[in-house]
Amino acid sequence: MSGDLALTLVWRHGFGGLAGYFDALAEGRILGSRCPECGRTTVPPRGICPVDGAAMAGVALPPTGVVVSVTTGATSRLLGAGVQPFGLVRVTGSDTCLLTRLAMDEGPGDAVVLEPQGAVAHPSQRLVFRRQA
Amino acid sequence: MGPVILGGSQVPFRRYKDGSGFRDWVGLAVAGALADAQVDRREIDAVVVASETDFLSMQVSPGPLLLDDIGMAGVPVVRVEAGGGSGGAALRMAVMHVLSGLARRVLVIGFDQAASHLDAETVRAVYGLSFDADLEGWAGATATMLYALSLQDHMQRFGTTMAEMALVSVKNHGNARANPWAHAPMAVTVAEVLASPMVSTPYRRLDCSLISDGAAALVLAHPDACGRLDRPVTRITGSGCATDAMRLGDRARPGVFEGKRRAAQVAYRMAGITDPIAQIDVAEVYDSYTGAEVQGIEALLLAPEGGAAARLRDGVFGPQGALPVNLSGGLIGQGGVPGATGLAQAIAVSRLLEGRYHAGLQGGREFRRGVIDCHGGLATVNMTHVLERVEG
Repeated sequence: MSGDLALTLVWRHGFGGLAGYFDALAEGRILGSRCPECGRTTVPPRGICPVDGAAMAGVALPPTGVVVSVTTGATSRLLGAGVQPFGLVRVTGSDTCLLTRLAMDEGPGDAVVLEPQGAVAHPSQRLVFRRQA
Repeated sequence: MGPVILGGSQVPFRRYKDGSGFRDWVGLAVAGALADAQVDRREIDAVVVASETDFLSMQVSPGPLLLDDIGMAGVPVVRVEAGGGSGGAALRMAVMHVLSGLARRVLVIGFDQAASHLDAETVRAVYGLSFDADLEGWAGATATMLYALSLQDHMQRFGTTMAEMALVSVKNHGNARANPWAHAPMAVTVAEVLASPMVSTPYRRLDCSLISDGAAALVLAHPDACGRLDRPVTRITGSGCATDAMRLGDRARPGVFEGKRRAAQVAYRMAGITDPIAQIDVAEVYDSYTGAEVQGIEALLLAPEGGAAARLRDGVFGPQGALPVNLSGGLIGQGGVPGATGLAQAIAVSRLLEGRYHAGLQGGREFRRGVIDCHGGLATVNMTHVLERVEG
């Protein structure tokens, strides 16, 4: 015997330390963090440097970068149906890469610029990079 | 002196459509494990339960429920999870129980109802949350996307190709043909793998492991609490666990499983292994994707960095090779049950060491030492165990 059970869950989710990063994305800005000890710069921002454990300071970075790699496939239903490209982008001035949705057919080596999206189910979905004109 | 695997069993990994559920599968696996171990359930003094997430079972705190089901209420139980490596984490927890003196005989149970419970799109969304949920999962990325980006770095860094990755699919689906517990036994060719539908570039459907339903269980004992067994048994001589940066973009070399390498080094050091290629005879490697097996073999130091694909081409990791990898079929062939995979690996390798695995896979060969490896996330939390045969 088997049957379908349905349960709808609605979370009241706090974004904590990521709130500023997500707010900045909505305005087309990128916030990162920089370690005062080793100078390592990361995006998204983080509180503790993974290299030496020092407290990192917030830093504004340009909303530009270069595509490192791209994969195109069916996205999670959390974003909505459809096949879309995601990739790793090295944001200008950052020592790390950012996993991001890409606008269309960007490829490795392309210079890209942040094109923030509105009306999203989760603020991380604002993050989209498009090839620079 | 490491703990001894007295015995173990599993149900076939499948997509069960017969109305059965994880409580049924656990009951069968436990009964089989106790019988194989020649142990009465009253001789068990601790239980470790693994399952990946309650999203899959819709049963919060399954440990005491399962103990009640199998007539073991009253026995201490702890539940562990580490994504797809949950079974390996449970095995490590059982090792800790025995080595610490907390327990003499530990029953380890792993299960998940991963295939038949939720539709595929929902499972894809849930698994996306096993990465950084706020920054990756909710953004819409999937596990396959992240593995694909990792593999691209490996391909660029070492010149590996998808035709080489396809050899993993051919091998593991092929091995599964001799494994009655396997979910996906198939005779496939490299051309068929390369022509299968695209999932997330460059990964195609036949590069991806299946998500399966099932359960596995085994009994671990202190060497002084083994009783008399009429066959060789297996001892766990090394256990390692290590983590990597959570987000792929934070890793200096996204295609190299650095956390897995660290876990292996810990396990090898504990087991006294100084030359894994020469000293390991057989391995079960976490092949959630074809590329993950290649990346995993290298991280486990069973091939030089960038050198696993060439050895794969040469048949080194095939069923008749010098170092068979995933004789069970692995996740690609046997199926992937996150809570049970690590235990199924232990069952496969322990039986291979004891000379009593499925006949078509044992093939009359003798193995002395094996390694099992599983992980959660993108090789983010890694568990490595070294197993060795001891005479009964």
